[in-house]
Amino acid sequence: MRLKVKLGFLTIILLLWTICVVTLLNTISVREVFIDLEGNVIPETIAISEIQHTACEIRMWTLTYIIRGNVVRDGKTIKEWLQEQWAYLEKDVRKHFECDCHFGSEEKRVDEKVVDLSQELISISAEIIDLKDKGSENYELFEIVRKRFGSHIFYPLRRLLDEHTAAHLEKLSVAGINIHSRCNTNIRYIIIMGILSTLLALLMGLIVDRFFVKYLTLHRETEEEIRKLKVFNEDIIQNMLEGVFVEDINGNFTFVNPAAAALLGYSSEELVGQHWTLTVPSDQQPIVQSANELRRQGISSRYELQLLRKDGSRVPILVSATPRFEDGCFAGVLSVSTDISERKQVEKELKHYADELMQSNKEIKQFAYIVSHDLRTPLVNLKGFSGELRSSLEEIDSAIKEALPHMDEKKQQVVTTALRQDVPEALDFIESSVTRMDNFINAILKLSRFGHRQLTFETVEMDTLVQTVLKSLAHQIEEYKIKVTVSALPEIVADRISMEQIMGNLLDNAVLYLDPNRPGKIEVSAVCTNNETIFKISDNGHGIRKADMNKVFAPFRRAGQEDVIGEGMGLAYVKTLVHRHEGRIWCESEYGVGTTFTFTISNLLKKGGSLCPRHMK
Amino acid sequence: MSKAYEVTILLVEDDPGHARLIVKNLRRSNIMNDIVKVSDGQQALDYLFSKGKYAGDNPPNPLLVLLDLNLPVLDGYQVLQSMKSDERTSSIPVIILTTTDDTREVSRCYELGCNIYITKPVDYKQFSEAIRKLGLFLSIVMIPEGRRRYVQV
Repeated sequence: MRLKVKLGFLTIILLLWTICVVTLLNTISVREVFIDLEGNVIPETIAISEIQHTACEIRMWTLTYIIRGNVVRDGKTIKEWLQEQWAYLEKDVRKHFECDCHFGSEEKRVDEKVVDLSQELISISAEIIDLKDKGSENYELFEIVRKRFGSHIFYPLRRLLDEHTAAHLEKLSVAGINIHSRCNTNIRYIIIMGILSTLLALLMGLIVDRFFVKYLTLHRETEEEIRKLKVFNEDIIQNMLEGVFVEDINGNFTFVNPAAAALLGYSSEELVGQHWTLTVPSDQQPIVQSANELRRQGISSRYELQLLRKDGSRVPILVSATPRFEDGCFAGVLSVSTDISERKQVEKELKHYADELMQSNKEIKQFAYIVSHDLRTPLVNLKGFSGELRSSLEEIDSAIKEALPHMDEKKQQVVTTALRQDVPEALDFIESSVTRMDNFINAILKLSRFGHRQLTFETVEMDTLVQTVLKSLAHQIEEYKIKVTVSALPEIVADRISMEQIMGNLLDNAVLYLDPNRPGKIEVSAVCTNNETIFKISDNGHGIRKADMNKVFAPFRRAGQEDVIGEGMGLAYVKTLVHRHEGRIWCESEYGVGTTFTFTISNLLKKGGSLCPRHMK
Repeated sequence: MSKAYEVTILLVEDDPGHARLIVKNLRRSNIMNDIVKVSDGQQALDYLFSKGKYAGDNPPNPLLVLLDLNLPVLDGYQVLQSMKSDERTSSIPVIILTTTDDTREVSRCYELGCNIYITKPVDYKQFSEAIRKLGLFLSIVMIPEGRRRYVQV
């Protein structure tokens, strides 16, 4: 479409130019004809008529001279008139001859003849005058005039000149026709040009019109878009909860949105034109200054800052600041400020909780020490003095042996029951209770130590590790004919001792809690996911009652059957250790069917790395 | 039965029961030396440096200290540290006799300069055995301080 339009334009313009050139050439040739007419044909024609006129005058004056002699006419003698006419003729002829507008050689020849005839005319006229002066008779002179002057010179000259004039007139007529036709052509061309120009103008008009309509529509649409976008942007900026500040190159605010103004307790109008230092307390200003340095280098950044409110209070904010550039030059800063008072408050609370947690961790550690020492101290006494009691009792017993036969039977009975049954039994209870108490204390100590021991992560082949654990259980496995299935286990990065503890406890439990009424089955398997390795240890043992499920990982709790010996601390250790490997542990069980323990170990633990006890950070 | 010889034993123990059991068992293993009992760290240092209620009384010489760790006022570590950092008492042998068996505490005590670390077993048979063996050990140990006397057995 566009190419066609272009081609159309080009064709019309070419046509116009061609016509222009042709018209111009036509005009030029007409002009040349005119120049020719003006410069040659017309003056020559005039010259010829002048020659003719002069020749007539000479004839007339010559005849007058013959008849009247040298009389005076109009202040001059006839001779003088004649002489003057001769001079004219000579001059005219010379002028005519010298004229360069000779139409070919024929013309030249005619001209030469005109010259000759003119010369002869003058000489004969002079001769006649001369003869008259010498007294010749008038008839003789008339005879000369008739024979020589008239028929031989004057009339041929006149004829020649008439012909000449006719030729010139012919030429004029031809030139006229030529001019006429060329003018006609030009008129036609000019009319065509006019039509073409009109067409071109119309076409151009149409195209321009269409283009303009299109352009104007587009322009209107664009303007509308821009307006909408502007409204949208302004809406965002005016209504956003973040404060927006725009500063010029000197740091004066050029725009402050309502949120920013509200943040500081001013109105937007109050802030515009103010320098940023108004809103930043002096101790915070270096932060902004160094940030502004970055802006000048074209770097955006985020930083925390405290702003000074109108009422003098401070508000903590997070600033996202970007440099503004106009025409490639730094033009100021655009910063978006978020009120982080709440976050700061939360951070403060979190820190408080963290401190509390650290404190309580410390206390737990302290507690472990207290348990290990202070709780043991009375136990030593309990045991010690019951031991002392026992030895005193033996001394009493041996001393009383002699006195016993002297007592009556009833008293004997009482003393022997007290000495040999009741007191030793009481002592036994005391001692066994103290032993249990001591065991509990040791268990708590152990748990505390598991929680605080520094772990060393290395590659652990779980296959080998599980086989080693199973070897230590080989006796029970063989005795109860337990079927143990271990699928391929992966290598993981973990603390070896912890893994031994975890697997040892879980497998121990699986063996311990098997149901003697059916052949035991234990399965160990593992699945590797992106972030963690999941281990499963399933058995077909007693299972755990729903009511007991929440006690499974609690210290000193032993779910279900009390026929199993132990402190009830195993799973508490395991849980602690799994947590220290960034893992989780849970248990699924159906009473009377079996139990599955599942635990995960993080895959993100770094080999060679170690985890300090958490509270020691 | 042997008579107490010059070496005096300073027993620093806050629990009277423990102190009684220790003394009882030492006596059973024929340690008949003088045993001075104090019940907190401050008293122990006062006794050693003749201060407070012991002002004016020169501590006996030679001397051996049986020290518990968890003590009121000043704990065993502080007593140990004070003793080892003062030349008057730095050569007095110190035997830590405590209920704690935490390895960190054991090594801390040795770092501070204790000579022997003994845990009081909760089980009384073991406790008696431990104290009896300590008694036997004391009976052969040599105490510094010039005269180089054996503990009299």
